Amino acid sequence: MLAPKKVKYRKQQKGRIYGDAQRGNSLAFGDFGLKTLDRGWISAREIEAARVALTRHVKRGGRVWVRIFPDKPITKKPAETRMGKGKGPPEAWVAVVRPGRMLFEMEGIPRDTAREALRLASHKLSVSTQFCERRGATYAS
Amino acid sequence: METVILNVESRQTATKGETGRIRRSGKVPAVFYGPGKIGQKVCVDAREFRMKLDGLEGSHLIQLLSPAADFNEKMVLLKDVQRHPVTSSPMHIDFYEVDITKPIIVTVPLHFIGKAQGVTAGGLLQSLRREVTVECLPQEIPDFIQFDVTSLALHDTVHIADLVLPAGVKAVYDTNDAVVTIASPVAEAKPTAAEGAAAATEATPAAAPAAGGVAKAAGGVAKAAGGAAKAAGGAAKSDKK
Repeated sequence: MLAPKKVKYRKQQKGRIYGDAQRGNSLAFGDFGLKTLDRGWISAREIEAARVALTRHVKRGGRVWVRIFPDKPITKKPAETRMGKGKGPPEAWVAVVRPGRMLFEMEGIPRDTAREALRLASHKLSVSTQFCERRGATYAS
Repeated sequence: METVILNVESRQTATKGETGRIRRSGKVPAVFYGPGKIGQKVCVDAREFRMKLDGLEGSHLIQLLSPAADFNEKMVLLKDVQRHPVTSSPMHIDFYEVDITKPIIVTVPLHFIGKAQGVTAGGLLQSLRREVTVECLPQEIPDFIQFDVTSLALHDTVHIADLVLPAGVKAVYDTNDAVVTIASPVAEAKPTAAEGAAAATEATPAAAPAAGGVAKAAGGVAKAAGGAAKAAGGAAKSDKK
């Protein structure tokens, strides 16, 4: 799973997610992509599950880019612990996404295969998504 | 390449409220400028823009039609289109006036056709550039530049200088970059074949902090248990008293 190698501070505050994605909102590498329409946290587990779904569907051939990185630590109090006594230990890593953020990109596969692979991947995510395609995307079949 | 004809209207104000009203009325705010010219505010019909230009790739010569003499029958190129991050609908357009008698530098998309021999052999076609910068007269801008990749074997690479350009079109580049290559399938095949193993190795560094967290949590529980024991001891002491 994706996780930072080193962080300056182990714990972060929750924060609020305002506005739309002002960067990372267009296709930069591939011909096809999956864009989020929701705002939220996407965990490293979700990203990995979606990536595996993508690569399994396309089998060999094609390239996949993951455009988000889970760099926000999420803490959780241990079970059966009374309130107080400080913030719990880090338990997971999440990527903060805003509407319009490109999550995955693909290249080198036919359009229908890409659409189906990204549909399968979208079922692993906790946000609603949209299939995107580069204008004039060409595939040498 | 055929010239696209687009109707534009002039607009007066450029406030946020006014541009919002323009967008809500089904138009897109735009600006018209050229070499040595100050920008002038215009707007275009969103539907007309979507129908005529939104689906096109590359650079296209546009002829503006307007009741205002300043823009009427001016030849322009799309310099920039700002799009909404979610819907990708145009938010603002820059029209750049060009002199049709002088050559200009524009980007033209690349199209690769055919199935490369290297792909048949299991390789992967990697397009390293999607467009190429060319110099030509505005009326000679090609829609796209086509390249047949059929003869490419594994590890073959095509550079900008290898592209066959139409007459009157010259490629502009500092370094003769690679355009397309047939990559080895090994890098792509391995993760798929040994997906589980890769996932396991990837999970290890990620699992370490989590495991540390669990260990710490366990320590915390132990401490809590110790605290409880102490408290119990204290209670026992108090009972003795």
